[in-house]
Amino acid sequence: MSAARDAEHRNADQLDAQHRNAEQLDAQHRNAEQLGAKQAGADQAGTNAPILVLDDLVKTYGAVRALDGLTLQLPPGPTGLLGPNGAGKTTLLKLCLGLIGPDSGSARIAGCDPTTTAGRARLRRSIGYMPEGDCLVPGMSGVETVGMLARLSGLVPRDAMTRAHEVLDYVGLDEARYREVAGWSTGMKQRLKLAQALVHDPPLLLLDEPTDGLDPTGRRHMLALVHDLGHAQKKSLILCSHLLPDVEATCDSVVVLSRGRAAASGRIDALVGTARARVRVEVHGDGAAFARELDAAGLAHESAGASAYSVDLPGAELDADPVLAAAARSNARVVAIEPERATLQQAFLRALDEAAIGTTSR
Amino acid sequence: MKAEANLEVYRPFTGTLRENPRSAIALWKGGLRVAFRRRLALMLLLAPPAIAAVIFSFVVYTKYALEQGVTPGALGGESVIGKMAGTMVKDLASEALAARKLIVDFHLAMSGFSILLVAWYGAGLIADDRRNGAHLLLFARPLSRTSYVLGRFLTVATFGALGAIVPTLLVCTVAALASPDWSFLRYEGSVVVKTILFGAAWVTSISTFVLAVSSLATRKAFALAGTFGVVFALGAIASLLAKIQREPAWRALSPGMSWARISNEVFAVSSRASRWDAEYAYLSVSVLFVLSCAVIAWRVRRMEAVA
Repeated sequence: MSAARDAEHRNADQLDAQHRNAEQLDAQHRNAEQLGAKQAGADQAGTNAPILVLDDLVKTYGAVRALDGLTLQLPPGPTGLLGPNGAGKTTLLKLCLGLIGPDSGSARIAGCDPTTTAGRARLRRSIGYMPEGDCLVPGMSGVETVGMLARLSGLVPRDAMTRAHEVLDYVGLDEARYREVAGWSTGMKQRLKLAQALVHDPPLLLLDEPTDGLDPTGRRHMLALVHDLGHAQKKSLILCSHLLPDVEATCDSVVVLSRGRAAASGRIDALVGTARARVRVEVHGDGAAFARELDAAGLAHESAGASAYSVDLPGAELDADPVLAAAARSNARVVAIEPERATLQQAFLRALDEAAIGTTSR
Repeated sequence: MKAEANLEVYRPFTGTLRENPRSAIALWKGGLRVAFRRRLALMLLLAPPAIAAVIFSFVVYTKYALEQGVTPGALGGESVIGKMAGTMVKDLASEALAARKLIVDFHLAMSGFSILLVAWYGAGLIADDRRNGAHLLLFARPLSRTSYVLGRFLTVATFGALGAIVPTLLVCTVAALASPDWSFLRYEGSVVVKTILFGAAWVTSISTFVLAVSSLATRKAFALAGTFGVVFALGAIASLLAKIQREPAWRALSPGMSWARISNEVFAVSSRASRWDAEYAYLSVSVLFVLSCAVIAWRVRRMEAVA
């Protein structure tokens, strides 16, 4: 019984420690952002060369065109890579690592050409890759894994071990680092993958689903780390995730891939800003008549609760007059009307819709 | 009190990255570290060669000691048990024709045993890397496929050498030291060279074969089963064909029999296995080696591309 209580206490302590760590990190971000805001602006302006330049890149697997003339330029900084399954995200990541070569087109990643042997070697020294899913070197402890991977990245043995401990400290893996990785929790394995990606301090990080399989606390911690790397540490990173809120929380820019092409790319605030304006309207009275009037006015809408509707406005401006007119015509009384914040999800879906229309019309 | 003050502080790396890191060496050391952690398996697999090396060293020493006029009693001490042991060793040593024959027989026996070591430590190397996703981490580094294979090969070959070459060299050392006027080295010195060369070729061949099977398997158990399955199946087929066709050269189909034939040729030992042309044995072993290399190259290339 006392052992069980001790275990509970330890778990609670660990959770508390994680909370504290995440809070510390949040505070660290704020401080770093406040202190370094001016300098950051200057640095960004000084090193604004794109971290990734792709020109008419084509990669086919048999009859499937995974990348179909992809042309793209990514600025330094944190960028989200979005797209449905089969959009070409994995192919793009492999290409970024120089694991595969393009059929045609050219690519420069972190200033390196991934199609040449020397370029690939330089590229892999400049990139930290955090793969999706479980990956571990069988039989090794955390510190041994990171240390060995550091050596493979080009660190001398003594530096490799020191650096392994530094990055394991950074991701918050304490005594566990001396245990075999096979017995670790998913959250710890995710943090280990981030640590090994950072061990050679690369300027560009490729993070593939970093929050995959994490509980809310672990997810918050991981997002805090990614945010810190992208903003306070000024790393360029490409975050590949299906969780749009994660991308929105950690990235400045986003690329939406669809069928091997860039359906949309740019800064998140700009993309979200171009998404359709939308308001949430709550009415008293004949809701059905109000909905009919909205249909008659050509305003797309959907139910948003009892007597409430989310209505898409015709333009990008938040002009609610057509909605109020429809309410007046249906004798419904508007009791509340408020703008609905456009989300990255809306921008993402819109970009995919437009890409689908473009493909059909071609 | 736990020191948490340093947590979550990112320290940029201020050192330099080597242009050509010794990746194969790092992988080799990592592989050995993992292997030496499994102490029970290590003890079970390395104890027999170690014990055999000690016994044979003593037998070889006895042989030379007897030649120099040492009495059996002196070998085992004055106690009853010591005298009995001395007599037993004397009998064993006098039955053997020569130190050379003793060493060659010992070397071939140890080479056979080393298959177990190589299979146990090599079967999981590539298969487990792929199953656990280690290749995703490894090939994201400036690690060439050649370095990867070399690193894995060195790991498995180390255990092969520990089983096949090191014990024989130990016995050879004892023979050299015990022989009067370094006669072992002067008259039988070629055994040492041949032991090293034959052992190296044998270890290279079986290590490559085991790695090839490992690269095809999805887990260590399957790779182990595959290794022994192929060896035994080829042995059975070769024996059957040799018997049916009344042509002993069919034995070349079996890697084990081919190596036995080559060992007879190299160490000039005649046995039932040496009644067929050794060229077939060399051809068979070469084909198996080339095939193994081709399979490894194909599978590792695929591993890198799907990483």
